[in-house]
Amino acid sequence: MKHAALTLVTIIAGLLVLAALCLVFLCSPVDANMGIVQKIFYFHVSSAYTMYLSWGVVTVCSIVFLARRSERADMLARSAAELTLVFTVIVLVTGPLWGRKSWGAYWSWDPRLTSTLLFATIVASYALLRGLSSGEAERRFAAALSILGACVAPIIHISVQKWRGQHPTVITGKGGGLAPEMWPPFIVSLAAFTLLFAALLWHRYRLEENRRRIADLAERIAARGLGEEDAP
Amino acid sequence: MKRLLPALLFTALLAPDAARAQSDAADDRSTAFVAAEAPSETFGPVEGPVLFAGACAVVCLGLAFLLAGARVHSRCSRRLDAAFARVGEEDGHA
Repeated sequence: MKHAALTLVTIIAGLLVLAALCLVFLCSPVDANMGIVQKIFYFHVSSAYTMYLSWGVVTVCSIVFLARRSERADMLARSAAELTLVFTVIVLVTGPLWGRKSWGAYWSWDPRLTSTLLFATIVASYALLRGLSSGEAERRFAAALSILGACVAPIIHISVQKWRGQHPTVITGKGGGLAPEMWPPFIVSLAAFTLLFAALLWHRYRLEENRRRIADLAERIAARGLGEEDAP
Repeated sequence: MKRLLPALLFTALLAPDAARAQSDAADDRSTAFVAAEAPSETFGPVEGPVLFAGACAVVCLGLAFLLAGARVHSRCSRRLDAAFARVGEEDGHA
């Protein structure tokens, strides 16, 4: 039953991504000033939003883990952290591609870009820490690191409003904005990335669950001395 | 200390205004994406379809991998359940 639900969510996520591609490539108009490169916006902003969402999951689960020592929360935090790294990499790849056309340079030490890079290093540290060791101290340290990352995430968001920078602000209360024809592809892209994140998180969580079950089984077998017979 | 205190007071009282002024300036530079009536730059007759088909192929391939992975995973889960049941039974007999 769970497998069927996961398959359904995965298929819907895949179809939504295809629909987003169709809308972005075939239906959305070309921007008057920037031309074709503006289409990166639909994937760049959606992955940035998913990056925040994913790290939100990591932070909440880490707090639950620190407060209650919940294994499930820890597994979910680890799974979501790896996905945050994936979406952060997408943001850091699509951003410079857009920047090359818009600013003439792949990178600029703009407040938002710098804070995103800082966030990426925190996420990578978390993933590395969890990947290298599964001890209790490392798990607690990683949970604390996720809270530090949660403090950096709002800085990325407000940096554009608070400090001068080159990064454009498109969707704000004042000025900027999208042409009406550009909203449908943008909304579909956001929905597609959200559902894709949900599906990937579910897959990754199952993987983590089975990984721990195998470790548990191996431990039980070793405790009974069954594994020693196979040893050379 | 005598110099630090006025500096702290200046930061606390005047800096928020300066930040707000900068913020307003930043908002003035906000970008608007406007649909072009006759775009000067469009996808070529070959590169457009090739790029679109490539992107769709990558998505379909990813989807196929995910679905295949989910099937393998379910099989592994069932085998693990069986293994746990066996270990549990043997523990019971012991």
